[in-house]
Amino acid sequence: MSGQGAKIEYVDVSKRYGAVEALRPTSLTIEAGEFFSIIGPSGSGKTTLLGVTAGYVPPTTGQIIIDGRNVVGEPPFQRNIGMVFQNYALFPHMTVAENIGFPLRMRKTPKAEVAERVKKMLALVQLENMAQRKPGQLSGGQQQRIALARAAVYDPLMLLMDEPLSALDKNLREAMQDEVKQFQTVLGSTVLYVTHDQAEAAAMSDRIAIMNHGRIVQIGSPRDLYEHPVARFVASFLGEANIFDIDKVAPHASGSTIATRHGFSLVSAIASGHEGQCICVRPEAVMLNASRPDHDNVIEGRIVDATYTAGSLRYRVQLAPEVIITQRTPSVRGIEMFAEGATVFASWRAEDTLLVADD
Amino acid sequence: MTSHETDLRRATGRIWSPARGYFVILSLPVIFLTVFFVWPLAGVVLRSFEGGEGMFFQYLTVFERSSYLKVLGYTLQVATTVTVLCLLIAYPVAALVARLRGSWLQIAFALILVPFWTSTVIRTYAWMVLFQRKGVINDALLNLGVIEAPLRFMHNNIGVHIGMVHIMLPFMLLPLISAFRNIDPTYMRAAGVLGANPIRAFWHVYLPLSMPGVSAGVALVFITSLGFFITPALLGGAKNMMVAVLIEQQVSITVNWELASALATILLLVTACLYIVYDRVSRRAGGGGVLD
Amino acid sequence: MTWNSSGRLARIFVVAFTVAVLIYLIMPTFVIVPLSFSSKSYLSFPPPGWSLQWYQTMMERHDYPQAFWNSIKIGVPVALLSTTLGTLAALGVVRGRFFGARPMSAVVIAPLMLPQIILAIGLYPIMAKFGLAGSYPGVVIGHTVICIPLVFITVAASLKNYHPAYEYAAMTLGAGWWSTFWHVTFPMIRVGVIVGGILAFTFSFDELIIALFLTSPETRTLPRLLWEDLRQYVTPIIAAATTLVLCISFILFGAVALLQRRLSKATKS
Repeated sequence: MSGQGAKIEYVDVSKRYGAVEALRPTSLTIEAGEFFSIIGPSGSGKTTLLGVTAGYVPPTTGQIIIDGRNVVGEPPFQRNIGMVFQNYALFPHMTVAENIGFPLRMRKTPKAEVAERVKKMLALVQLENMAQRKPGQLSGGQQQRIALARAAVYDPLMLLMDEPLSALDKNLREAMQDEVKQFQTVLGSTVLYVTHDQAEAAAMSDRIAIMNHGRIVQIGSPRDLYEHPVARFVASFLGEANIFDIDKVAPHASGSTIATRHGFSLVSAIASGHEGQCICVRPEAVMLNASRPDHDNVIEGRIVDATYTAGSLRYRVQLAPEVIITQRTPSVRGIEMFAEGATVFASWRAEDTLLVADD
Repeated sequence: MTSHETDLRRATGRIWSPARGYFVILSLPVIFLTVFFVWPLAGVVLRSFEGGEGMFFQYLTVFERSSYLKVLGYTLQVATTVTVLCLLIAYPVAALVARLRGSWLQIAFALILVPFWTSTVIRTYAWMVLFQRKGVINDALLNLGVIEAPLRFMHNNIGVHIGMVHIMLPFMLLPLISAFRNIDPTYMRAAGVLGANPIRAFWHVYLPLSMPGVSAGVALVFITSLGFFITPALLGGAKNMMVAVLIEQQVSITVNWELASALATILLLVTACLYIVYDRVSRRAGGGGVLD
Repeated sequence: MTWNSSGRLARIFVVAFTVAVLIYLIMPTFVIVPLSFSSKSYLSFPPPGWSLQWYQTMMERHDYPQAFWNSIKIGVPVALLSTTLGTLAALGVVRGRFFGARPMSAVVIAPLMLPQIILAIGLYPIMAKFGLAGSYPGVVIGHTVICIPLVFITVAASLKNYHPAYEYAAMTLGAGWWSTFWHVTFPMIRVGVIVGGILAFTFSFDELIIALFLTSPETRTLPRLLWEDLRQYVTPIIAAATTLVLCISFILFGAVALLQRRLSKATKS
């Protein structure tokens, strides 16, 4: 049952609906057995990319090479791909066992083998005693696991998932993330996972592609994307970011001094910046002090908002008339909080001053 | 294969897509309807231009002969009267039924749907029985002393109107009830709190909100009444003929297919125009069209 | 609503009026039943006497049973044919994402919306040309044209009740067009299809105008026979025949009501 998933290559794949370009010519390679996520706002093209891969959206141009074979032009039922839909699409008039056995019956698998493989799958998702129930009798999390089982029972070349966890509540979602990841590891499948929840993608993926307006903006591991965003959009979409506009960049030996448009200058470890970019500083890189510290970047400001959320303290600090930054500290037990209106000094290291394209 | 070739493959139509499959599925009924619906209709329109000197001979005949014009006029008048009567009768009934719940609602619906499900011929026959000189209605009126001699209901205006209102009433009731059930009672309560007495609340709040249902019912009843055949044929006479009856007469008795086709084309055009107008108006007013 | 005496009076009036209207709707239909059992040839209250003479006469005649069977011989093929074509049309219009969905729906529904007299005088010459005038296939085709919209409406409503993802899911799982329809789509629209079929049968059974033009004395349907008799003389034999039809209609109506109750229960899960 377990085997390596397939490698997928997209070559110049695009999709146009009349005058609207839902997916601009995109090229991408997903390695065998990789857990690959695509994130982005609605309309970014991620669902289109999924539809083109599954086969029910015919692409306008391009090839999709799965396991060495170009599948463009083939209908979904010939592609040997598994897909989990957002609302699971479990057939309501069939039992759980019949649902999971459905793709095997379509492939004319002998009855005895069908029963055995269904049993193995149910054991894998730990729902053996649900075999004769109808989907309507199961909870959301259980339906999700059955949908997974059904999509994987016939050893497909890859698994596609379209926001499968978005219908679940927060706590259940995080538990299911672990389960889905485990499922994939056991089977060794290649997974293409679409979600709008960047934290979810970061928790589960080997690599993430972030899309906007029909094209891929950046691809990398979650850490790559977070620590080295190439554009303002990426910096803001994955995690939080404080953005400053650049007026002038003056490079020097160990980096550069950047004059911002907000009345203060910042120091960065990057020397190759230019005016077409902007500055990005992560909230957890910022330190707050009541008195002026000796750090690379120090700006005096005023606390505008102090919020205690379960897990972190979040401050909004006003540094300039139009500049309010966000700062986060882990909420250590008994920690003292700054009062609203208090004067503080916000500071961070030169290497935390990131330069990203201003798109 | 290059991506350019993919474009070519799409151009020659060999890329699978769900839309193409559904298109093929749709083609069978469409062909059937084209042959057995569109073609007959086209035939009727074409035949209306034949059989006489000049293309518009039949139409000129229709508009010059006063007897034919009277039929057209009578048809419009009956349709209007029946629509108005149905609206006046159905409005309060629908408002009440819409507020029922549970078994009362089911009973009311059953009472409305039963005639809906009975064939028009049977219902019209029922009125013929009731309208007989020695029938139930005359009996009751005579016994109550309201009249002294049996009234004539058949083959005159009264019978046609009573019968048609009876047939058309469910067509007015059902859209009205459906629309009324969609009116949130909170609106009327809010109007009351804001200072409107029941009459003003009805006039300014309930009535405008009921307009989509009213227009749907009115359109349905009016358009159906224009082309109606069975009831006017059985309950009406030579002096109160509606256009569908005239068309049938022209075909079966006078065997003047061309004139019948002209009358039918007029009916077709009027009906189609009314539907288009209704669709546009209701869509502009924010609701769906006829087909939603 | 403020309750005052005039408000209460108005409410009583509305309720009374409603009851009167509902009686007006129902009563004529039920007038026929007592007449069919009457011993005289007219209906009066109190009823003159009871007898089964009209039913007897009707059975002994040749034309009524023949017309009844004709209506069935025509109604069943009409139901089957219009169910097939109507379901195909609904699938194509609702699931196929054409920009022409509204005009498409309009064309499919049009036969039901336009006055049937127009279609009747249009179909007759065409049937005559094909040599089908007065034959069973001719009137079956004629009725199918106006019954397709009925099936279309009910099946389209069933299809709109659930997300197309089910069909896509089946296809990604390996089911082709026919397998997807048979294993996934049809079980989910089954009730809509059956209701549409029953509606089509009932409509064909009761239809007069097209039958008037497309049937011959041999293939004459029951409504046409009733029509001819009603034009000439009104005897309670007609009442007997129509009472039987009423019974059948109510049975079919009950079946549809039950099915629609099952349908609404199914969509709640």
